[in-house]
Amino acid sequence: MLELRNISKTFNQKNILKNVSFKIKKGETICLLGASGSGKSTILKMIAGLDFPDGGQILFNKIDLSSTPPHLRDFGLVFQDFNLFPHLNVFDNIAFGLKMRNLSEDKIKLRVAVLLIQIGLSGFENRKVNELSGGEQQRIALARALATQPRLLMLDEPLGALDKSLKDDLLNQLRNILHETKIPAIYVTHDAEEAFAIADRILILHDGIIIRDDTPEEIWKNPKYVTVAKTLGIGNVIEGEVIAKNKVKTEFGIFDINCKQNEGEKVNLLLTQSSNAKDEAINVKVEDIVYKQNQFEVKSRGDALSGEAVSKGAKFLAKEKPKIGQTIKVNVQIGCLE
Amino acid sequence: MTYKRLFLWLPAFLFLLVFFFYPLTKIFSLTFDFSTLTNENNLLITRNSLLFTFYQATLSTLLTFILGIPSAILFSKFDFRGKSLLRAITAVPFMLPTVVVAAAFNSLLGSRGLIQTFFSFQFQGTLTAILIAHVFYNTTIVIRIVGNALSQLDSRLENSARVLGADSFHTWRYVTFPLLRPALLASALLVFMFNFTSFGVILLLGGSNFATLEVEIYIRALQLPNLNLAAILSIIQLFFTLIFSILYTRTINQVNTQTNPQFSQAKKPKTFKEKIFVATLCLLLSAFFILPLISLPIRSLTRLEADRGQRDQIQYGFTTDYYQELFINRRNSLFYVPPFQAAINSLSYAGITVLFSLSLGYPVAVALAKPTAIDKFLDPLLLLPLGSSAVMLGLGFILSFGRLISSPLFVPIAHTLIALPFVIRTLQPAIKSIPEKLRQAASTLGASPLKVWQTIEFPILSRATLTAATFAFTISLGEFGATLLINRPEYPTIPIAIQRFLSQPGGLNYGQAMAMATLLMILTTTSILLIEKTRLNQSGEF
Repeated sequence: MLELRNISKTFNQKNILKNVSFKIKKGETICLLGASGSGKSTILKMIAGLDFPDGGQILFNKIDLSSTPPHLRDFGLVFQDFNLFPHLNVFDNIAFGLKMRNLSEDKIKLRVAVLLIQIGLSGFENRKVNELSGGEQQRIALARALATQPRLLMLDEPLGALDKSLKDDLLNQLRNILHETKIPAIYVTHDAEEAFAIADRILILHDGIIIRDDTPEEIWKNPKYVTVAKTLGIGNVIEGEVIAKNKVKTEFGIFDINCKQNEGEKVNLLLTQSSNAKDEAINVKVEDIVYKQNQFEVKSRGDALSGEAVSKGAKFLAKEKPKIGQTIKVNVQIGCLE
Repeated sequence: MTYKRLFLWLPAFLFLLVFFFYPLTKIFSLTFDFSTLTNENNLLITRNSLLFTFYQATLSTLLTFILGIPSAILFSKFDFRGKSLLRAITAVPFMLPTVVVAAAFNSLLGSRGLIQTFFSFQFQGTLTAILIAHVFYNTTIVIRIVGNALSQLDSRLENSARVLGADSFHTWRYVTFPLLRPALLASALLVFMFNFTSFGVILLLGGSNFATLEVEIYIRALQLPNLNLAAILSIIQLFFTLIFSILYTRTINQVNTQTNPQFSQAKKPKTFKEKIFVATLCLLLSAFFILPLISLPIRSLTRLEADRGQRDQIQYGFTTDYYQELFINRRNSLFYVPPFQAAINSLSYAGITVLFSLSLGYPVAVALAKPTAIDKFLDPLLLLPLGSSAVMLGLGFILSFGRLISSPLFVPIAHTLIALPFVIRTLQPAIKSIPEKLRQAASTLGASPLKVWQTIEFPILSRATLTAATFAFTISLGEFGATLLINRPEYPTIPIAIQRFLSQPGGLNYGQAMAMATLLMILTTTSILLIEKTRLNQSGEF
């Protein structure tokens, strides 16, 4: 349905978007993940028609949108800090888009009532928006965007301003609504947990380009890039050096693995803890222990490096509490990263 | 404790009682006069001046908005070179004395003005002149209030509306306009109120044919004495200004609560349309605000003796005659003293005003720094003189003190009434900012109360005191309305001298008016700069 082709954008003489291309299918929820300032919100603004790319095209159903003004695009947009109209009450906020489309009053009333039930705030019609809690405001903002049954829903860090427990609640609610309505959605966030929870596909924006575009499962299995593994918090990224073909030396010992790098070059490896005893086993020295969700997170170091090389350490989970200073055995899967 | 507090209030309160409330009751008592109230001629005068006041104030406000709204957009939405300078220039007129503004426009557009050398047209004595001067004065109010509201307006609200299907007109109609409404209303009320009570501009540029309430009070107090009528007009005037200030206070409170403060959304003009808008408006604003203020000193140093010879034999040239004449006491002079004496009078009056208002205001500011219920009750009383017009203060003095008024001391007393609220409002936050702990710390370290004051309070307060003093000084220097009614002919002030010179024929008189106005402009601008420099990041509406 929606397609971005080679979008580029310069801001203050900096190329924040270099060559961004992606597509969204009907009913699909994609997550645009990237650090703050990476240009995620700019992409949404350009899709909405509130900003313009310096190069490239935005198409919807194969039609170029460049000459369509925002109010005729029929897309919904929800911002991080809600941006409800402070001079209107809940009803008028939700009804805003419907009124712009000149719907009859009865239809508007019915639609607003249905939406309020859907977001669990029925009876809130006459409330002032600035008297509502953050979670309530964000649900109103969502209802306002959904009211017109847009062809596409864009959510710009919609849960960024809310606290953890509220976040989980709303995330579930949002997922259900997106499933029911089948409205394709772009969800922008820098929070990997949110991304994995809601996305059918995750797009990772880094340095102005999309470096990964895959399902959450695939990305988790093979993050492929150091930045991806680090932003998503997948496994441990450790540094190593290729000492011979198929041999990489790290602080946790020498592994047999074939990375692209040549002999003598530095390489980043991904260590993922595994429960399979057949996998590679390494010995680590326990440095610190944190209790985490009925397990123990063990901060540890390897001691296979000699000389001046600095150990960065790695984290693993243990069922039983080890002692500090003790050496324990951990099974890991090892992969190369770019 | 309470007992001690009342002592802080006593000097200022007694002062107000004698010089404000007593005259006010005098004015009130005069209004209960049936023959005046029922006199048809009086009713006609009252009706006409009231109608004209509303008429010119409405027109002025409208015109101020026509220039002010685009300017507010210019300053809040765009970044361009020289922006802060241009913005500062638009704010200058607001603090200039009315006589200076009147003289400035006169020097540019008046019958002896610079432009009249090239084109001839009627300016002085027209409604246009009044309206232009009012726009000149008040545009900065719209720029400040509406501009602030505009730059605090979250652009994402407008974006939300656009995405939800509102075209640009509907976005403006249902989102932008409702959010700006309190700011628009508040600035309109304030501008209207200033135009409603405008006196100097109307008298000096329009003449007494343009009888607003204020001018009519002056006429009935001095020129065609009918003190009963003057009293009635004063009460009507007071009634309306009170209503406007109440409405203004109510709306200005809504202005800041509706929107969230945000970082600046101003950007460089990009599209051709935006560039044209910014360039045109910058040019227009610079011309409108700079030309009159520059033409005043130029005219005061230029010989344009078109009046004596034929039109085609005009002698142009540079001259310092007008300034030199200020020191000469001519036999046929308008004064008993050399005109320069007016400057000395003004400076002495201003000095006394500073002394009075500081010594009365300081104790009140101390009381208000940690206000109790009594202080909060007494506080608004001090602001009342602000709500009444200067001409009315003068009228009250005439009614109350009769012959005593020949004492030159009454001029600085009237000026003190006007300056006192500003002085208190400047001192109070500074006093409040000194933490009690600081004093306690100093005294536990062995400082006597005098030493505490010397080492802690004085250094902190000296800046605020300087600002307050400059405020009082500037207000006194430029005050026109009250002074016109109560001053003695042999003790003219600079504004009075300018008014007298302007009302007399002859190129020399005109030139001397320009010279004096230039001096006054330089004095007040220096004071304004001093205030701006010493004011510690205090910001408020007005």
